Amino acid sequence: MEEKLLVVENLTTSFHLQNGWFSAIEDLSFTLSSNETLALVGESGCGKSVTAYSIMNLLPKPGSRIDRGSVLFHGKDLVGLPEAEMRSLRGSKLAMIFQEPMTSLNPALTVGQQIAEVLYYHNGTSKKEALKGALELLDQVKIPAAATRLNDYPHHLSGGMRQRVMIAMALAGRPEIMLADEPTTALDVTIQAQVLALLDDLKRELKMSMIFITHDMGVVARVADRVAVMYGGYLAEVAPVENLFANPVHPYTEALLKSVPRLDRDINDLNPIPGLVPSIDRMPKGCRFAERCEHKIDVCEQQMPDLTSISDAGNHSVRCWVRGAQATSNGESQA
Amino acid sequence: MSKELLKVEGLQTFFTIKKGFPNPVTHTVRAVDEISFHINRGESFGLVGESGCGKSTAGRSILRLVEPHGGQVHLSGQDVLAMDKDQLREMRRKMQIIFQDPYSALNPRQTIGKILAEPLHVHRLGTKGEIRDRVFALLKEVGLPPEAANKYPHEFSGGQKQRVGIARALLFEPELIIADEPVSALDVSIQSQVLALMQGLQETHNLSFLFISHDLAVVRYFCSRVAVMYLGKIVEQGPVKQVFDEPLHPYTKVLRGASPIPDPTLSKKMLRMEGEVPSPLDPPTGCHFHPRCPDVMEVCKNQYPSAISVDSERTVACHLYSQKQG
Amino acid sequence: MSLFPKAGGLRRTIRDTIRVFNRNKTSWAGLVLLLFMVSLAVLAPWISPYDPIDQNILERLSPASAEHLLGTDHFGRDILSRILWGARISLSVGTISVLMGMAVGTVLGILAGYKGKYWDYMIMGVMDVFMAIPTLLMGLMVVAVLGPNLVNLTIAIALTVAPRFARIARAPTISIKNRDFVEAGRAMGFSDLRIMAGHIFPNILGELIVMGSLWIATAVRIEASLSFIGLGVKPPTPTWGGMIREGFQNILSDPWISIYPGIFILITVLAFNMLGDGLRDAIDPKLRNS
Repeated sequence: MEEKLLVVENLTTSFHLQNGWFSAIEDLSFTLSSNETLALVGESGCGKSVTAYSIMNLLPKPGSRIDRGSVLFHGKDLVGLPEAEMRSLRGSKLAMIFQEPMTSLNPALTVGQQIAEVLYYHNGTSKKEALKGALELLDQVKIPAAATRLNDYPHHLSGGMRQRVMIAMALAGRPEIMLADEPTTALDVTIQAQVLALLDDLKRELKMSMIFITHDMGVVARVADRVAVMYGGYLAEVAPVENLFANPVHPYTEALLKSVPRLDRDINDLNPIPGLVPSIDRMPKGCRFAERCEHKIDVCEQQMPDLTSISDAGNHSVRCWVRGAQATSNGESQA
Repeated sequence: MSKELLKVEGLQTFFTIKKGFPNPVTHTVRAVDEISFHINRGESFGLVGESGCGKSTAGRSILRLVEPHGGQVHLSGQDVLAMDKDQLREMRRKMQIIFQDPYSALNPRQTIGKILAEPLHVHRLGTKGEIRDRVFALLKEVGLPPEAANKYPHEFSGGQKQRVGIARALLFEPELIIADEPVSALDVSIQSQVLALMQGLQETHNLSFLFISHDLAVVRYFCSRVAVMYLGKIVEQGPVKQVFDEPLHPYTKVLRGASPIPDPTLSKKMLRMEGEVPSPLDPPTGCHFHPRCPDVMEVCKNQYPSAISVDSERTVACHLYSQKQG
Repeated sequence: MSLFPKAGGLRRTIRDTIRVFNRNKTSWAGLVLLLFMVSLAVLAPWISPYDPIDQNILERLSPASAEHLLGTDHFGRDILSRILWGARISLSVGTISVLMGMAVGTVLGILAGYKGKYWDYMIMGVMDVFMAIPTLLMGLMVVAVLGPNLVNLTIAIALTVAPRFARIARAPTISIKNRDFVEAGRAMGFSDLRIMAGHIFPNILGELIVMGSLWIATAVRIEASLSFIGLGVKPPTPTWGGMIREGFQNILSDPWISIYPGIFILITVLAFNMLGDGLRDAIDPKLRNS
């Protein structure tokens, strides 16, 4: 078995609301291999961002906590790691980019200063060296006329350029894993295409792994090697990208793919998923998708199914009483 | 009754911005620069483009929420831009708007019932009892329970708020609804619910839509004809399938190629194009698209191409096609 | 009259308000303190132990004792009695002037913010000029024109306060007028007046209430300075501000003359403030219904 770079096991994170603690992600287990892009996909409130913040140990405190589980990075558990150690990992081995590059950059400092600061802080380079490094990074993220851009302030840059600057800062520490939280959602499609292509190139050149968080199935198809579909804080389905789109097993995945309009083909009738996404303080008992699911059986509303493997290769798992059980009874060995 | 409901000809809307210190220079942004199109009764017409292309301003100019500077807008043959205040008030009952951000579109201090009843009160459309019945009927029509009338916007999800926005747009039984990115702020599974709702209402109320969006897939699904905008100008228009499946203008090709498709076998071939959208403050000379255009020619740098009719339904503004004809 | 009456009506509104207040206990404290202050003012003629303007030179400058609970001032007047009577003027001048200033300022601020352009330049230009005039000068001018008495004093303070509220009202108006619901209102054919009064005002009221509660304190202080230079309430009529000023003569030897009325001002300000926060939350449907 190949070496897993990141192993998340039974991760459960709760948030404190007015009337108590509620889990935002529950019993989450997945792995990330070297050079792999795993897409975490789901709608708002499904817990995809919370997952990234839990891995990075960036959860707002107080008001949230990791209840159980582990995040093994190179075999070392990040949960409960002292803040000082975590801080030296963040921005070097683990980097994160966000949806809104304007609020993630300091408006009062030039682009060059902000990138140089990361280099200075993490690599201990001299200030002069750091500025040179910043220039190289801007070149690496293909910002035209990088030398003049160094002295620009964030508001001088377009949204796409700002996101490139954010990526440059994330690269400063030579990360092994990049967590990208909806990095292209705020961008126009032509700019989104550029940034996705850039991330693709960088991943290959620098041999990074990536956890890519998005709600857009089109973007998932574009960037992912493997996909983890989340719903109501749980993983609903995990599969290689081709399998997931060709053969979506979980009713939610299937419904989601059927409900989006397509640019490449005619759709006469959309099949909207009825109902609303449940909020974390009002989660239904049992399978969280049950009340919106057209395949539900009695047990679905009673108990949460386990994540079970449904393929011989062991790379396609699903958390569903109907579809998961079906596959198991078809002779899939669990032992 | 003629087939044509809305006719927009040469519509222009400019903004002026003062920039610079201590000697500010006034810039003119040609947000909407001589656009022309028409919408038939019962039809959905799409207006697509990237942010800053002027598509939202175009929608607001047609409603005169922003005052246009030139051109003509006719609704059922009536000259909208020549109307005085009272005529405008009457006209707006035939033309309504749905906004992108359902949070911002509803007054947080009013209950849903008040939000829907107030416009009817203002226009004196019925007694209290009639208005109440109308509000309940509308709530039902957009798929909300009657109890919603007593609740405040913050008690609803984004999709539900958007349903209220749609109900509000329907209050006066309008003929045309300008929908400005009505599903962009919603979750994927909710988007299709709202689209399906709007489609159902279109049939029952014989509505026409001006559907403004950046999402080509949604426009392809919802609209029959489409216009593609770039920096204030329409670069191509025609039936939606033709425009998206066999685009003529290089920009339409780029836009299509850059749109992600939920199919890993197709999307890995996603087009990449270099260059940023230029600032609308200072658009390039000639064809606005020429600095990013893969097929740029000498003439493109100096002269803006005029719109050419390719066939009875399609027009494109590109020198590539004017040369073929000439 | 509501078209969609909620079950319970007024009783429910009261219950919701109580719930919001319960969440933020300090608003209860504010309410209780304020009611206490108001009842002191109302009951002053019956509960004050002495006549507030009765001089007793023999007992001048005596510290707190069984006869004079808070001592006496340099004329030998009972400080407690003066504070109780002073509450009537100070509380009413403070509250009324702020309410007046708030009303005028809010109208002008919303108008300037919503209409923009020339309205904005004109209104805010005038407001800035008003704000630049020192309070005492403003008092002098008003009194010179209208003559010195309690009503004109209140007007003078209102004029000082109004430009502040114009500024406070204008900023959120500008941000709210860009929200889509205002545009929707215009698309629905609502008049500007309806949009300003019915849609913008309720959304900025919370901030105005909080600022108003702060300004009542300032108004009490302004009343003191104007009374001190003889532009307001004439001695020997007691006001809290006036008492502090008078106490300055003996501040080093007998500081309590100023300190006691000061404490009452402090408590009043605190009460208004704590109540203001609670009221702001109580009119916010987001907090009221959750």
